[in-house]
Amino acid sequence: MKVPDTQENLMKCICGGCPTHNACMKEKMQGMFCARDKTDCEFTKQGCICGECPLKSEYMLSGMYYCEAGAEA
Amino acid sequence: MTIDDKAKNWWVFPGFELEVVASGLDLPCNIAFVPEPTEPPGDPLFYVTELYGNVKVVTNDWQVLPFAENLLNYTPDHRFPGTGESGLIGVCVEPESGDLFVSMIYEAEDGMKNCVTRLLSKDGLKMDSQVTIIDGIPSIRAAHQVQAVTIGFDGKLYVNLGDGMIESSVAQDDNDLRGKILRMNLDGSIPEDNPDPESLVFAKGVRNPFGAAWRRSDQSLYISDNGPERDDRIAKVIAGENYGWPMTMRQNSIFWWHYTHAPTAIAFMQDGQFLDDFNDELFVCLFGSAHAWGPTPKGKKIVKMALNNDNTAVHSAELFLVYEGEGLASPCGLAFGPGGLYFSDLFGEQEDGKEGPGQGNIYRIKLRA
Repeated sequence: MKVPDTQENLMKCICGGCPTHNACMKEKMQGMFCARDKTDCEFTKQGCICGECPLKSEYMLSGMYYCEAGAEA
Repeated sequence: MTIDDKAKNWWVFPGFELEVVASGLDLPCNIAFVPEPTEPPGDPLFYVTELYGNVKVVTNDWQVLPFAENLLNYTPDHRFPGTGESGLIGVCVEPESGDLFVSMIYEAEDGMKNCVTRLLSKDGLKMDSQVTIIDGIPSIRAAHQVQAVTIGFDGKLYVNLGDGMIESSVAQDDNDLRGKILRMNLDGSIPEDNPDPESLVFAKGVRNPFGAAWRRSDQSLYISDNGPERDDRIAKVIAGENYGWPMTMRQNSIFWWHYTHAPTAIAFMQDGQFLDDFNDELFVCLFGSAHAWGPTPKGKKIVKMALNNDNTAVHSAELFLVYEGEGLASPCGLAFGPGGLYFSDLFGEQEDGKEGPGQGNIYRIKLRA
């Protein structure tokens, strides 16, 4: 299910606490990749916490590493 | 909020009541009782790991004292869910010496690592020195790190080691210690009677096994293990067995939750603290989401389970404790001790939505007077 890119959903986003969310993503204030485009930062997978995100259950998302995959269709 | 008010935030099984026995703890994680406590009021009764690197000792007269401080070599970032969910977690007491074994992560030049450390003390009230038992195992600043540590009826040290989150296939790699239950001598060496006498691996194929408890009636170790979107589970650990992760979380499990509740610590009622009806039942903390205010359908409960006669399945599971307050509190650590079942609530209530350190509690559930 598509995730609306809203302020309300942004408040629920947990990307900032993810071990993969690196300095480049923080500097560019990137997050909520499940609603937005994938990151353009170079990164190494350091684990994924998408499964713990409230947006995942709310919008019945099935994927992981949305920072790599980009928004849910 | 008064201590009585805190206790009122929990529904507890009919015939039982709740009391706060220790407060002011900072992210109290796991609890380990002194196996045979002595009687003087100021002697140690149990120990609590605080997630961000301290161990507290609680005495027979309910004093909360610092046992060991600043065990982590990095600064935690308090992000829940995520990088704040890691640190100092497991604890057990070695019966002969009274020393503690604790599990934690540390920062090395090439990244985060898991380790198990022995904390030595002459009086049980203050750590005198520490000795590394195992270290150098790759880890992560998130969940899935080294978790419960227990000493078995065979006198060996058992260590629950998460898969590290990044590459789940390591749980099936016999040459990688992640995603395994390890068995070792108390100095970290490999016992000659391990399934592979050249390996610490006792069982493989686990994901994020937070809890562990030994059951006297069948002399066996049981664990809780956290699944991905589904299939948290309870398993009886058998030497050389494969528990299936990352292919499945159901292999060799005796119980699983389709809807995940994040099981943390577990404990068997086997020393008469409750009525005989509860004898040998398994109690399981279901923590739920890593950071959730108020009551939630996911976790924030303790359940009790009865196993079938041949210990291959759970034949009843019931709610035993449910959080009904508005705070962040959720059951995390769990252990039976004098007079009842003790649990930690990690964050504590965090009243009025204002988060701060040092608000965690230890509760005791006891038979209603």
